[in-house]
Amino acid sequence: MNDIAFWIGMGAALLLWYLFYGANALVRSWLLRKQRREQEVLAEFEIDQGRLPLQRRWTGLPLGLGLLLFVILYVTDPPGAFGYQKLRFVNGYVFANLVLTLPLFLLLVRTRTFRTERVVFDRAGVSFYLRRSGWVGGGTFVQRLSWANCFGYSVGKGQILFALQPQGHLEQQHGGHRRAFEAVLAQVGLQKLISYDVVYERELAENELTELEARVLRMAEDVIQGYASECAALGIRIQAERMDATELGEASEPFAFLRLGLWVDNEREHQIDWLLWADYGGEIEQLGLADDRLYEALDDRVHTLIERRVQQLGQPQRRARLQ
Amino acid sequence: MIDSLTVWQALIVAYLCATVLSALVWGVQPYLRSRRLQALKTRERVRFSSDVHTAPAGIEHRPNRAGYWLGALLWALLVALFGHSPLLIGAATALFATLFWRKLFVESEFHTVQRYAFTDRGIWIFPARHGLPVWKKPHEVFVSWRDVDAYKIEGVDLLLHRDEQFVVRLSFKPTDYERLLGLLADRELARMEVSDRIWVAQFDEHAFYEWEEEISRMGWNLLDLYADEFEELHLVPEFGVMRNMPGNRLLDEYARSWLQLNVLDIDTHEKRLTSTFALWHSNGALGQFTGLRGQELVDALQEWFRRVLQESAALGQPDEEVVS
Repeated sequence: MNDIAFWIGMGAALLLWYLFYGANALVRSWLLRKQRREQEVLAEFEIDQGRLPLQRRWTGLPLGLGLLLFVILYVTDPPGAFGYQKLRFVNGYVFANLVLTLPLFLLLVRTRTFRTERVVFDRAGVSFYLRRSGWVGGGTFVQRLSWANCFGYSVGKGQILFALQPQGHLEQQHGGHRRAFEAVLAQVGLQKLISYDVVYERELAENELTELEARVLRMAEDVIQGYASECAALGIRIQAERMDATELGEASEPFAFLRLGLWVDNEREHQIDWLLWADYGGEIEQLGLADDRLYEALDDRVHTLIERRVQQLGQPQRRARLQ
Repeated sequence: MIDSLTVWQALIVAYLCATVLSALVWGVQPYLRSRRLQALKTRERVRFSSDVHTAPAGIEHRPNRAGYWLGALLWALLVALFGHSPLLIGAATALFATLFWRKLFVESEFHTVQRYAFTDRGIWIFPARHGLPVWKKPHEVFVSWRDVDAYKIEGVDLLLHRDEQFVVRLSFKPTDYERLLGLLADRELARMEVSDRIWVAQFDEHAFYEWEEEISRMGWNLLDLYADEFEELHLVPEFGVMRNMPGNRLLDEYARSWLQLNVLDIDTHEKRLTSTFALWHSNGALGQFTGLRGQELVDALQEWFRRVLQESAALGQPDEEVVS
C-alpha cells in the first residue's frame, strides 16, 4: 500500500478511460437536461437499436496512449531522469489499461447510451440524441430538426420520414412507438404527406386493422347522415359497406376496402371504392388519416356521389328541352 | 532556468509549427479552389457556376466540443509527467494543436460545399472536401460534353449518362433548377425521362402558376398553326390548363396539373376527342414535374397536337344523330 504512485496511475487510467468513453453518458444527459430546461418538452422516446459488435478502434485509444508512455519511458528516457514515482505511475497506468479496459468495454456496450437513441419532441422542433458508440470527442451527440425546416412527414416500414425544407428527408426509426409519434406530430401541427402508411405486420397492434375499419365505417355513417336531406330530395340512398378480397371472389393478397354505393330503388347506380388496407406479404399498407382528414376525404366522396346523381338527373332534362 | 526556457520555447515553436502545418494541409484549400476557378475562367468560357451544400439542409448538428476539453486535459497530464523534456512537450503540443486546428477546419463551411462550373467544353466539378488533407483525392473532376449524351433529374441530383450508362452525379441548389434545365436544353442533351422526380417542398407553386399561364398562351399560339387543318376536319380545338385541386393545394397528395386538348365538332360543339399532357403530379412527398423547357417544350407540344389531329382524323365523321 505504500506504492501510492502505482495506484494513482491505475486511477488515472480509469479516469481517462471514463473521460474517453464513459463520459458519453454524462455529456448526453447534460445536453438532455439543457433541452428540458430551455424548451417545453412534449414527449420523449427511447429507441433500442440493439447491440453493436465491439470494434477494435474504440479500445485502442487509452491503451495506445499507455503503450506510448511505456515505450517513451523504457526506451527513450535516460535512466534516472524520470524518477521512481513517475515510473510506478506509468506502470500502474499501463497495468490498469491491460487488465481493466476490456471488462469495462464489456460493461459499456450494455449501457443505454451505447444501445439506445433518444428522441425528444418540443414546441420548436425535435432532437435526436444519437447512440454513442465511439470516444467522446468523435461524431455528434445530438441532431436537431426544427419544425420551421420540416415540411411534413410520412410513415414507412418501421420509420417516420421527416420531409425537409426544401429537399431531402430524414429517416427516423420509431421503434414501435408509431402511434405515439404520430400523436405528437399531430399536436405540433405537422401534416402527413402520404395518406397510406406502410407498416410491418409485427408492428401492428392487435385488432388495429379491425379498429381502422370500424372507425372508417362509423365516420362514413356520420357523413352520410349529414347528407340525409339531399338524399331524400333526390330519392336516393347511400350505403357504406366494408368489403374484402374474399367477397370479390378473386385470388389475391388480402385487402379490405370501403364501398360507398348510391342506391336508387334497390339498384346500385354508382359506387366509389376506397382501399382501407392491403397486405403485401408481411408489409401492410393501411389508411393512416387522422379523424379530421378522414372526415374530409369521406365527405368529398359522398359529395361526389350525390353530384353524379344530380348530373345524371340533369342530362335528360336538357335533352327534353331540345325536343 | 535554461531548461524551463527551452520548454517554453519548444512549446511555442511546436504550436506555431502545428498551426502553419494545419493551415497548409486544410486551410489553403479554399484559396486553391478559387485560384483554380479563376484559371478556369481565363481558359474557358464559363456559362454558369454555382455551389451547393452537401450536408442535408435543415438538420442541425451541434458541434461536439468534448474532444477539445479532453485534449486539453491530456495535454496538461503529459506536461505534468514530462515537464522536464522539451522534446516530448513539444511533440505533445504539436499533436494536440494539429488535432485542434484540424477539427476547426473540418467543421468550416468550405469543407461541405461543392462547386461546379458549366463551360463550353464540359462540366467542372469541385467536390466537397469533407476535411480531407490537401494531397488526397482530386480537387476537380472534369466531365466533357462528349462523354455524356443524356440526363435525368432526381430530387436535387443531376444524373448524367452515356449510352444509358451512369457517368456522374451532380448535386445542385433547388434555386438553380430552372437555370440548369435551360443550360442542358441548350447543350441538346437528351432527356431520359419527360418528367423530373423532385421533392414536393422544392416545387415553387407561384412560379408554376405563371408558367402555366405562359404555357397555355404558347399552346394557343401553336394551335393557330393548325387552324386550317382543324377546319378541314370540321373540328374546333379547346385548350387549357386543368387542375384536380384548387391552386393552393397543388402540393397535396394526388394533386395534378395538366394541359388538356379537347377536340369539338364545329357545329354541335360536341366533344369528340380528349387528350392530356401532364405537367405536375404530386404523391405528397415526391412530385413528377415536366422538365421540358424552351424549344424542347415547343417540339413536344407540336408533336402532341399533330398526334391528336391524326387521331381525330382517323375517328372520321360521327354517325348522324337522331333527334326525335
